Amino acid sequence: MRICLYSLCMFIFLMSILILVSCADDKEPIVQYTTVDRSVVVSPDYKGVVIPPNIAPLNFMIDETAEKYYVKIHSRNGNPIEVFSSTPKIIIPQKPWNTLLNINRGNELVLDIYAMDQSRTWTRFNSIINTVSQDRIDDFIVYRRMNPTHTHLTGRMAIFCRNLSDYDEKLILDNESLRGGCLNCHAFANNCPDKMLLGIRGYRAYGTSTLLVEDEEVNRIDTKFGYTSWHPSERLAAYSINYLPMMYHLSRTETRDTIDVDSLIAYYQLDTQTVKAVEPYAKKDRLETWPVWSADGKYLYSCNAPKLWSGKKLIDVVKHYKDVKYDLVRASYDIDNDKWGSLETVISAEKTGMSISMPRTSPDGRWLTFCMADYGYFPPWNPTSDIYIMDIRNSDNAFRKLSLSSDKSEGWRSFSSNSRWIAFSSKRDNGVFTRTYFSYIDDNGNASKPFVMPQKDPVYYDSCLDTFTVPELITEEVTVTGKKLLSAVRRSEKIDIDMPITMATPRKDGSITKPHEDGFE
Amino acid sequence: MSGQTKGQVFRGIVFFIFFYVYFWRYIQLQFMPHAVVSSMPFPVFLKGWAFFHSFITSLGGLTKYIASFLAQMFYFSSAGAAVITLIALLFYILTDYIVKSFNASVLRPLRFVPAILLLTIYSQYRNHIEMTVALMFALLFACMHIRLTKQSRLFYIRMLVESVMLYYLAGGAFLVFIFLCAFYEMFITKSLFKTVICLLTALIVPYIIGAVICEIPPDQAFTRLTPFYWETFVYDENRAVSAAYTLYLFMPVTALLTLIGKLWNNTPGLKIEGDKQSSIKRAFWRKMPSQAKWSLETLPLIVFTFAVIFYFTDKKQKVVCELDYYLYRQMWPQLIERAKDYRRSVIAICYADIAMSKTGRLGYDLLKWHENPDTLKAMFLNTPNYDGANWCKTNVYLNIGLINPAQHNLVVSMESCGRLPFILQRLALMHMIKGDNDTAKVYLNSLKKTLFHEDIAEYYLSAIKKDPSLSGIEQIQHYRKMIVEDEIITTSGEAKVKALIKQVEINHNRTAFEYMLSKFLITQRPDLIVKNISWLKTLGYERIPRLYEEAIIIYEFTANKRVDLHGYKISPETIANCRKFDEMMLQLSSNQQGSIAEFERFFGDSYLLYHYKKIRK
Repeated sequence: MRICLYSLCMFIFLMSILILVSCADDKEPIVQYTTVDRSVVVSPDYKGVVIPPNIAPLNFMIDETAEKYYVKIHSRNGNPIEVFSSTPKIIIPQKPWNTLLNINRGNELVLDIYAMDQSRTWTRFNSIINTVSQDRIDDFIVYRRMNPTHTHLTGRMAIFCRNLSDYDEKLILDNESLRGGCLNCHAFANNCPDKMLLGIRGYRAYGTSTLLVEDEEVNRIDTKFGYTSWHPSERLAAYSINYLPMMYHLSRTETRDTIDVDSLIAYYQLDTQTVKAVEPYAKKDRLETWPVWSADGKYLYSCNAPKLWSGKKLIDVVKHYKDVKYDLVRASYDIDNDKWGSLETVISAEKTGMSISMPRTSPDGRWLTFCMADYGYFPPWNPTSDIYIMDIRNSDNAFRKLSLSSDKSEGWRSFSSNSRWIAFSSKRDNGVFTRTYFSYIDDNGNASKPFVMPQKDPVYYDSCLDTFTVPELITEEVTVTGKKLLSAVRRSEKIDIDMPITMATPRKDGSITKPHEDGFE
Repeated sequence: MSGQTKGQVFRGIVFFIFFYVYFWRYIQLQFMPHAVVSSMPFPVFLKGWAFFHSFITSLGGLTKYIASFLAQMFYFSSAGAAVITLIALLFYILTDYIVKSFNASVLRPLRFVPAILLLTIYSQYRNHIEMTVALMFALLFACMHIRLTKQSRLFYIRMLVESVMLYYLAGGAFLVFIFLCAFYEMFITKSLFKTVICLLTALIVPYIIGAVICEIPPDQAFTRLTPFYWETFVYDENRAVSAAYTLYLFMPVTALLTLIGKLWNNTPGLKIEGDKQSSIKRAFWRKMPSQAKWSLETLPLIVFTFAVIFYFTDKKQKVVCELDYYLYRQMWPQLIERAKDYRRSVIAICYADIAMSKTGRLGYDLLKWHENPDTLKAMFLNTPNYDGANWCKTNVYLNIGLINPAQHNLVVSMESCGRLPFILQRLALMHMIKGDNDTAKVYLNSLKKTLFHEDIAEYYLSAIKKDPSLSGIEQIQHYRKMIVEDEIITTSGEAKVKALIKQVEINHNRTAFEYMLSKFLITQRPDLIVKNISWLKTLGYERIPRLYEEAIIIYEFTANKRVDLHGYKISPETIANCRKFDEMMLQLSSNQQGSIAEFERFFGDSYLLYHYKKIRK
């Protein structure tokens, strides 16, 4: 009995070795090959891109039918990385990759690609040439993952912090802990997670509030902040409150649309725990949204449009949806005296014929990027939305479209702390699922070809039904735990504030006073 | 094996055969995934490591993974029935073991109760498979614990290991395990210290692992994978009295019953009387033939089982799930036949409308379903009551050719009910219709990872690869013809009517036309029927459908005008019907009583009676 058992164990052991050996990729050096003068198609498209030296391996798929694949990754310095694969998936080992990139900053990164056919003949394709930037990207990025709905929020939604040097994705907070609802508009001061604001809208429990994180201490502000921007001094944050009913198109790839019926820009002062309206913007006949501070904190940029309707019914408002076009404006601000200057128009919608939204400034104070689309203010749902850039140092307010724009929606952006990289949301892959892309901005404000945030499985995005929204680059990992955030949400202590009242002001229970007779279904 | 034991085994076999057959042939679990029609979620299962990994890193994830896999068997009635029967059988065995371990053999008949409770749950077409599997693990661990306690020492290490393992595996169901262990230690092994250890473990393990390590809110740490979890109240307001609670509390209650029984036996006064009565009973019982004994023992089980079936079967939910099943498979005759059992249900009417439009019967049989103008809401489901009926609305809009509204409702369905295969398939279809193959491929690649829908995903992916225009797929070309080229913002019911009109005018969409005219019929607007007669030729009608003919006649009579029929003629049958109706109307004036009944018999589905009822009002 014992002998049988022993024999069985040995047999299993030997079979396992045999299987492992047979499965191991053949790593014989390639001596003979045929060269073809064409490029191989890879997905994701990591060809001709500029990459930061601290990015995780850009694993990819080779779109060629072959028996085996071989990729050699090399640069001026260091040992090349060799990857043999019997499937089209090329998985690059992480440590050698990180090392290779780090010692080749500013150099080209060459990927030689070979494929072996059934007759065991190797073919070499044109090499892929990428560039390793001198400049690192911030090590972490925070984003929200959710279904592509934005309407009925009964599904799962969560905010994650991803390490860009590897594939680690850490959960910060999910809505299951809140019994459903929305988590939104996470905003960091100066690309640092020590100060963070995060909006909570709990439909079944915990109501509506904003979490304020200051050095791991979490407090709850008893109101909802919309699109939020921290002042670089970290002493206050500006935010908008908007009333955004949903509308739907009968014949367009993007079915959804929205119009800002009423809005307000306010700012919250941390020391006094008070909220005030931004005086230059607070006009009844205007819509204002998307506040963002300049890098020096002396100006608050935002988008501003005239209210085109006077009717009471929502259905009358909706008729104007294509006519609403936002200017880019700014108002000066003296933080020491809490004084505002008058409103100036930076870019006029009338002149451009387009509508401006989502401005973002670079931390070095040089660049202002924004979206422009044919109308409206919500880029994710407007396929015509592209990203533009303006050099703030130039007084002529000249701007141009960044080459990273596609024929689908580009939207949310975040600059890295060194102002060299932007992370942005794009639907270029398919028009429905938002993915996070990165692009390098050089000294002249030119953008490199964007590449999608790498995943360990190169075909990850092919079947990923999540949409990645609000990508925010940060220099360190978010250390505040979900438990602390939840604890702040659940406890009764909160910071009460008096809100300047508009129709868009949410009530204590989180609902909004609808300004017009509801003509929506 | 003694005769009594053989009888018990035989009873068990018969019961579970009946159980399986009942689930297979009557409950028919293949309808369960179609509870999406009531916006109820159903577990999703995908092949591959990534899906598995997403579960094992969370508390109770492994149970959810197993439950999700088992739930996929529900797509096939026989396989689903086998899964539930197996689970019920396991509950039967485990319950029996526990009851015997508690020295409460008199309670052994209760081992059938979990199976009956499962029958109760699934008769209502509510899916609690995750909680059920979690509870099963809890009972399994309890049995293991009891068995090992009898054989070995090392109680404290075992307790800790079992607790941690089970809590990670089954979440809050762990508390049932702890209760049973504590009860066993207290009243069977009579170790107070071990009982205290069990109770402390009940508090410490969920708190440390759940609240501290996994950072779950403390209340959720204790209730995950139990009916007390917050999520259960979202999808089913009747949970308060649901069999799921009973199933969870069953074993603890049984344990308490054994305690009560022991206390009863130990009470002196009661014991003497009890003794006299029980000795009489015992004598009577001994004399009874074994078949009679078996029958008497089995009778309560039969009565209880059938009472549960009779009382708890949610016929309405079964019908709507079944209707959705037929609709999805385009089984129109079966759908119409089944919908007749539930004519008053809005969903049944809505689906019957779809079936009638597909079989060309809307212009004939509409009023068999729409008895009064209130039923118009069933046609489009566009009143606030049906805000949540997203999946049903998808079916309506897709039928008419309003692709974007269908797609929007489908995405909302996905949000509520999960990424079910037929939702993914439909979403892929909609994007292919719109020429958005890139998005369709994402849905299809996700569909490819499901257990039973890989083939259909591969079919479409290959088709896209071969011919991105998909010109060879008739279904897609058919819907493409329905796409409205110009853009409308749909903000109200009025906008939907406009959209319908556009479908008719621009795309010559016959289904949209019939829906439009159906709306006019239901809202008693024969003038609008007359106004649109000219479309009949354009849309290829060989004759005027009966209901439109009757509306035309009504109009001619009330407006005192002749109507241009654009080359059509009113059929002789309709003319004969109208004459008969006229005669009966004359008789009505002389005999009020019983007239409506007569009318209903002859003209129940005619527009003539429908219009007459309006006048009568």
